[in-house]
Amino acid sequence: MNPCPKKRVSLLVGSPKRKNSASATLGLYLCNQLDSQKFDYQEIHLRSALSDKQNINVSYWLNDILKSDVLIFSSPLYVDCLPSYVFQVFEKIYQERKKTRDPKEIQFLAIINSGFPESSQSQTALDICQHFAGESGMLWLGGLLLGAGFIVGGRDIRKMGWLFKNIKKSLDLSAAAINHGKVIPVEAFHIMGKPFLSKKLFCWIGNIGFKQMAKRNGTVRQLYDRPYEKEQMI
Amino acid sequence: MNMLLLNGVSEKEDDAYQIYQVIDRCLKESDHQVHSYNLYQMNIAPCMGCFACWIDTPGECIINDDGRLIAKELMQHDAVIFLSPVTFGGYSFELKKAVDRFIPNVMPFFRINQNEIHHIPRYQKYPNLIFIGTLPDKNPGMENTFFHLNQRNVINMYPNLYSQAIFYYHQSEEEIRIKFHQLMKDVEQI
Repeated sequence: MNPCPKKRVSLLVGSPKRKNSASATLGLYLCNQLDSQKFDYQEIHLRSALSDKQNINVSYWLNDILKSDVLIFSSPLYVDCLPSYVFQVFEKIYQERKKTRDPKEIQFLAIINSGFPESSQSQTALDICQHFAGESGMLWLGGLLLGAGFIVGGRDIRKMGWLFKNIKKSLDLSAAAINHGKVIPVEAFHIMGKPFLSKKLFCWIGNIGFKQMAKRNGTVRQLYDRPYEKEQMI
Repeated sequence: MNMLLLNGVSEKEDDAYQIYQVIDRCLKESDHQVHSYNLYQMNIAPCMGCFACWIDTPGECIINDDGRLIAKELMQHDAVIFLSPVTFGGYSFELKKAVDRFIPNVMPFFRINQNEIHHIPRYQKYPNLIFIGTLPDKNPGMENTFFHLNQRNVINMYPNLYSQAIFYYHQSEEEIRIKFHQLMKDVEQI
């Protein structure tokens, strides 16, 4: 008897960073929790894929995406929304699937992390992902929102301390759901969204961090510059 | 008013482009000073999220392309129009790549604003904003998301006033003109 073929999972990373990307770290952790007997996964960095100078219509990675059974999209929040090139990719996938009379059944899950502590600031980006999935005829598995995602960076989620236990738990719950062909449980959404820093503490730490970076760069005096002030228009 | 139109609709999108042309005509016929940019014709690289515009060259992106020009132009006008096809409830790639390059115009530092954390403004005054989305037909879900996105941008881009609307492909030129004049009126300072 032939064993059931493994399902193909594509992890779509929306961050332009190749190193220490929280988006890649979160997505890879989730992929590694999937049942390896049932799933094979590949990682696609959207920014790099788009800049490889190949024609997006024939590029290998677009075909890989279209042949997937599950898409896990993991991205940072950029100006209240998704990074610009993600729209280019979404549009392309949507157009390709619209051309096909009977497009392959694909499940779609989104993870959005933002630099702000409130995960709710990413809700609009998640809504956009849901519209994309719906319009492209994919099955929406749900989404996870993480605040202060930079804290994850490129760290090993398994080794992160108790303060971040909810991140691991949420991803474990989500992986279990995918393993069983179910949608992401509401509990996974709620625990991922819990802030692990107070607002005041976040501001204090963040502001000191930026000042220290400027000090190292020797740009403290220029930090408040206004190069585009109206009077300076020539 | 000194106005800037950022057109995120490309020529390939016939129906949406016709809406752009009506808006462009309205602006040219008005008493306002208008600068218009077709973003799809510009060389704007996507933001790399490197924070150099906050730390290395404060207030200016390190990528030397049209993204810098647009970020500067934003600050030189009284009102800015964001025009885009509603793309899954968001902006088109063309408009979003420009919007992502506006972050040098705020500071890296945080403060609590409307019970959320946001970056503090770099400048004292920011332009008022008009958001226009185009759609083939009514789509309450996507329109709702588009309006939410506009409102999130308003929190972070610090306009005094803003207005927003969706224009549909089937609307007549007259309907678009009336609605557009109302949007302009809504952001005119008294």
